[in-house]
Amino acid sequence: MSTRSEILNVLDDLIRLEDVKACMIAKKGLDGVVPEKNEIDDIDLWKLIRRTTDDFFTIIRDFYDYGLKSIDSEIDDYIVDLTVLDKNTALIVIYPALANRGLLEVEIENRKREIDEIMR
Amino acid sequence: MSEDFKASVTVSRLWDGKRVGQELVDKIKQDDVDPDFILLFSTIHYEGEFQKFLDIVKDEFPDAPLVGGTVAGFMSQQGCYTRGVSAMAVEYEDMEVSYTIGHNTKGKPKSKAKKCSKEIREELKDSEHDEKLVFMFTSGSEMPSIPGLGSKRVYNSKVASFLASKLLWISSKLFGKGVGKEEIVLKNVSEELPEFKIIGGSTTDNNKMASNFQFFDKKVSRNSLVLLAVGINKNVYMTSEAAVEKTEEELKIKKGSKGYIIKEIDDNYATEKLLERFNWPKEFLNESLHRKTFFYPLIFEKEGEIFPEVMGVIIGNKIICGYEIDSERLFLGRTSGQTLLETIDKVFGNTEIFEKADLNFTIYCSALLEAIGKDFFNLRESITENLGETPFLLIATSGEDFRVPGNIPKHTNETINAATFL
Repeated sequence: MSTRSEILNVLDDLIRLEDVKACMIAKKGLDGVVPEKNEIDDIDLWKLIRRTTDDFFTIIRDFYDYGLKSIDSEIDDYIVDLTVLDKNTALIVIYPALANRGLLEVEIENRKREIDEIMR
Repeated sequence: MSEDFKASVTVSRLWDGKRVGQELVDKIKQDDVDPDFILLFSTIHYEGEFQKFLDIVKDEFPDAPLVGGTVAGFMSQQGCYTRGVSAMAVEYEDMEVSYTIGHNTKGKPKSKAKKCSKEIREELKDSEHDEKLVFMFTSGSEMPSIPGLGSKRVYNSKVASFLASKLLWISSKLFGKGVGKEEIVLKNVSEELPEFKIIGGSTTDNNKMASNFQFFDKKVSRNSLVLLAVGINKNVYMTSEAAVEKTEEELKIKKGSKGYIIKEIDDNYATEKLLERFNWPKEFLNESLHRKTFFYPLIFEKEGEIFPEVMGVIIGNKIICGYEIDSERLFLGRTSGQTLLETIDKVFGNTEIFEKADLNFTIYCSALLEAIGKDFFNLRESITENLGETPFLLIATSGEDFRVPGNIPKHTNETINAATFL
């Protein structure tokens, strides 16, 4: 199984959680790994996030050596949670602002660790 | 681990119930454990799959009593999870086991607790072992859903508040939903089984408080209590610590007709005054309020013990707490990731004890899990530093039950309670 397929399996598993509306692995300057399924009502927002992921890497690159681990943004009714995997790769997960965030964070961290392992 | 005491703590992350059941069975067998009892816990994501994995586990181990239920998450030597299924299987010849189930704990908490405890007492009356322990899992609070509004944590409007307050009380009688009343269950189990140590928790979902389930062999129940008791020729070391700091900020309260409602604080409407005491704006009164209040529990004192209370629901000017408040004086509490790490050190810090441990079972508040999120992994590091390779299972429940003989029973929130087999 290719690295891409393995990562896609991990993301497909993550998006089965009721509160996860969309997720992807973003790679600087490259197409990310994006599961087919997403449940974001505002599809334009999702398209915008996918189109602009490269912009995040400017911030990641600047702060990476200072230990940047994640960037969270609240946009409309969603949280966009970006977990840094390395300088050029990030896991992006979108969930409702009212979701029980602490519980979700545990599963996002599990997925991050699995993807780290696959990419190693 | 003592040669004749065997324990297997297993986790499945598969989704299909049949495959989950088979994976748990295979792992228990791999650990060479022929269980005398099994505790089994699942997150709510497996609703619809519970029966499948219970059938498989029980078909494989028909003689092993099995109890458990739904939890917000769990931790073991394998990792930290808020989605999955876990089982703790124990084999030990020098042990008697008894287990039972009581239904409708929200409607009849006292009589059901007494009935179950008497059954346990009767079954274990010939046990020659001094060490006796009860695992108890009670259905936790479930918020009824109001047509058109759904299930909420904060009701601001007058109409919604009126409907919610009526529905909350009626629904426990009619639909088995509402406040869990676990403190009544614990009090009565403690009275009937005074020589037993007790560790337990309130079954829950993913902290949405919409539904929760209890497991008893192959049965999946709601609104029930399951007890599993052992008389055992081993020592069970019990520890309980509140993961909160009590401040000297005092609140004088007036309770509602039910003891878990705060109607007034300092002679003012409770909700208004609470916001004032915290210096919080009214805009904080929304569905994410609980994420803040988890860090600031209310605390009452009784017989030298502290009882942290999570503020569960706000209905207009009333605050609904997780269980009955046994005082007119409350204190503001606070917690943080640092407090939690320090509490874990207190619970697991006795190296002399934990070096000898064969198995540890810990119950941890699901509000704390929600509050700290991925720092849950740091707690695991701290726990495994102390436990080494000893198998352990930590589950996150929406309320914690604890009692050692001679001390008062404690049903609380935001505590960490552990039973360690030595």
